[in-house]
Amino acid sequence: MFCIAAFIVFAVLAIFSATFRPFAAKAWHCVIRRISFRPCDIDFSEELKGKIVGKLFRYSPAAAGFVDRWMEVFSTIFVVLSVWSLLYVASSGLYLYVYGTCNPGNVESCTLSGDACGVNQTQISFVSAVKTGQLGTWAAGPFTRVYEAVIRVPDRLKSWEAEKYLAPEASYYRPFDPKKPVAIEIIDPGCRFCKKLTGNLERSGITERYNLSYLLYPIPVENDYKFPNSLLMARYIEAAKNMQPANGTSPLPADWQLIKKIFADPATGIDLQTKFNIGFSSAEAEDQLKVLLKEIGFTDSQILLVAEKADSPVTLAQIKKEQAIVENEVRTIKIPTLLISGRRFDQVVSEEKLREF
Amino acid sequence: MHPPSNPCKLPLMGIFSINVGKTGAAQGVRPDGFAHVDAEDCYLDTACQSLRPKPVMDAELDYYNFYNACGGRVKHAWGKRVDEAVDSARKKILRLAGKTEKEYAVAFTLNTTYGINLVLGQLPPGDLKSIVTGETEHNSVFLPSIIWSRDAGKPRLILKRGTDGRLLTEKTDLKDSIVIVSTFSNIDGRGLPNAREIAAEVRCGSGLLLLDSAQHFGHDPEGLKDIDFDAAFGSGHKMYGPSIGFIIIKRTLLRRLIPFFIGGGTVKDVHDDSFTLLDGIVDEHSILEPGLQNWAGIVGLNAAIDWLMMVKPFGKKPGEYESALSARLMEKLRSLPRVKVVNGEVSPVISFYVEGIDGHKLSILLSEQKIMCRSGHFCCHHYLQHVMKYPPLIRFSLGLHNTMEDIDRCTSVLESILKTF
Repeated sequence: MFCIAAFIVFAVLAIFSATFRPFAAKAWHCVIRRISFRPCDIDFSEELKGKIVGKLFRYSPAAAGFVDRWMEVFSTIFVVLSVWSLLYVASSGLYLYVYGTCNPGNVESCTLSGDACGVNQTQISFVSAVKTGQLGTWAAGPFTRVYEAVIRVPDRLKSWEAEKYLAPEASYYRPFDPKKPVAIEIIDPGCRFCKKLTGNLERSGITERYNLSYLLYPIPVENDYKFPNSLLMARYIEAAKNMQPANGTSPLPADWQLIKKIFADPATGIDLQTKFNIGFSSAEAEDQLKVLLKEIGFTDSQILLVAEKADSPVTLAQIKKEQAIVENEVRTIKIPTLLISGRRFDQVVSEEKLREF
Repeated sequence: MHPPSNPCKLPLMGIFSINVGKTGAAQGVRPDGFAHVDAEDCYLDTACQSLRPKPVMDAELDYYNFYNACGGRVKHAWGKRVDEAVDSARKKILRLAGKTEKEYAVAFTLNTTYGINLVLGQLPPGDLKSIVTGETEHNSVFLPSIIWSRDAGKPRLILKRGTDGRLLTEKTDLKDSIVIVSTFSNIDGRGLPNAREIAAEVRCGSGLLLLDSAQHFGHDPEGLKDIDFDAAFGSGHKMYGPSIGFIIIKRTLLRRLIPFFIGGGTVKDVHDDSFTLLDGIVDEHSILEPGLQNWAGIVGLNAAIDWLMMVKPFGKKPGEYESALSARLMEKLRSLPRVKVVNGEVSPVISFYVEGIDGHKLSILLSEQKIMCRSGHFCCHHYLQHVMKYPPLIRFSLGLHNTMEDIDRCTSVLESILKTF
């Protein structure tokens, strides 16, 4: 085991310095037991152990004795941790390639994930597994996750035709023009990165060059939503679809106007999205949505109609259909997701980048 | 003799401390010729290679600086100077062995192993009936004797050696045999006290007495004087000289050799399909010196012999000084628990093992404390590994560079290690 530990250490050091390459080679030979020692000689692992313990002995004989006795145990722990780390890094690399994040279970914890809100996969904790008798599931978790990532590798290679993933009643930023390609953004009204992408899409002119549509995806968490008023906002947006505000002046569809209102940045003070996420209770949020509808140009009676529609099972069913497309067809684990020109992005795409499309 | 130093407590990092003997550095004195050796470094591997005193290094450097030429084949001034040094070295070696130029020649080789192979490999079996060797022999003797026996189709006998080194020949007829044995064991310094009797018995017939004296010259330079050997093999690097070997060989034996390893510097004339070897008292040794020689090595060996014959460490004769060091080392080692000394008698070469600690590991631990010694079976596998079944041993071999402080320090550190492991 000590040879393996030594090989790991020297292999890493050898990457940075040629000095350690002969040691790495020696350690490797020791690992695979191909080295033939002269009878007068000592094997590599004993030599290295002796050197480590000998150096330590200069400073503390007691510590040297302790290390000598437990060296094999330390080596075993080191090797196990190293192998585990190696597997962890490898699986993280796989996740990064497949999902665009090195930690699908907690997207925000991976700095390589880019600007995105995680659709975090629920992972059973060890304690919960013990309590619920699901130790097998817990133990198999890492392997299951790797398996899932592997079978999703083709997703990274395929061409993402946005038309195939439109909502049943798709709403476009501008009136549909068959000469323009379709692009779709998957957004959660509560996700600040979705707000950022929507702004970039407008500023980059995508909204003019493409038939831009959206899929609403309030990010679910256990028995709730990641952002408490996401579903409510989604319901109102969905309900406002295909409705014409009686006093409206904007050429944009009402649902897009509502999205823009939710995503708007005030000149001063806290932005509305943040208030929806952490400031408003459900009732306050609903009142605020009605205020926004009024601003868009809906009359009071229309607002009541939108509110009724938002609360209806039909609207909920529409949202569930969109959720199903996201979860079963697009299979994203972080949003905003943008499907454009056959490509797919699972994070905020910069304005500059979007101008290339 | 130096007074023993007291172990000192060396504080380290304010937390740890270790008991180590005070080193020679604290005392600051090494025997003449070894001022360049760091007093912190405790070198105890003279049996492998002795340290070179300053005069030897100076002589070699002088050669490179001022007359860096070939010997033996040139007529220019530098070449002549080399020839003088080489000739001087041959004469001094003969003088050490108490032999005459008329009866013996001296040839320089790579080392003792090389010399033994060179002689045995070119020695026809003739009337020789067997080859006899000792059980404690170094592989440099043991292996060539196996090869000679195999190639010659003659039996090979391995005799036991007494605790004093005596070759136990009672039941063996040596008169027509090659007897090849060491005169100073590299395991425990055992000598060959019955060398003269063996020589006499061998002389009864056409037998030969070949001596592996690699270890001998460094400890007892003139110890072969009374032995009527046919060839003795030595190593400059074990007698404070450069890395070079030499053979002191009877001219009668030299003439029996059938050369197979010849070339430059070995012939006086060459024809289409034949050649005439150099001969005569001046050039006869050349059959064992094919090709260009290690001139700097020979020059250094010449200086090493001079140094060895005149050095007086702290006013003592080298033998007396070494004996005092050896006695103290043996006494200290024997007082340590778990230390099993292999030696039967006190010697500058002391081998031992420690119960519960692998010899190689112990050697590394000591090395990390700047104590350099040898571990393993010292190329005596047959005896140590198979006859005695010893685990890998530790060998402390002393030289004239060592001091009493070295002895105290190495045994003090060893004691600390034994307490820890």
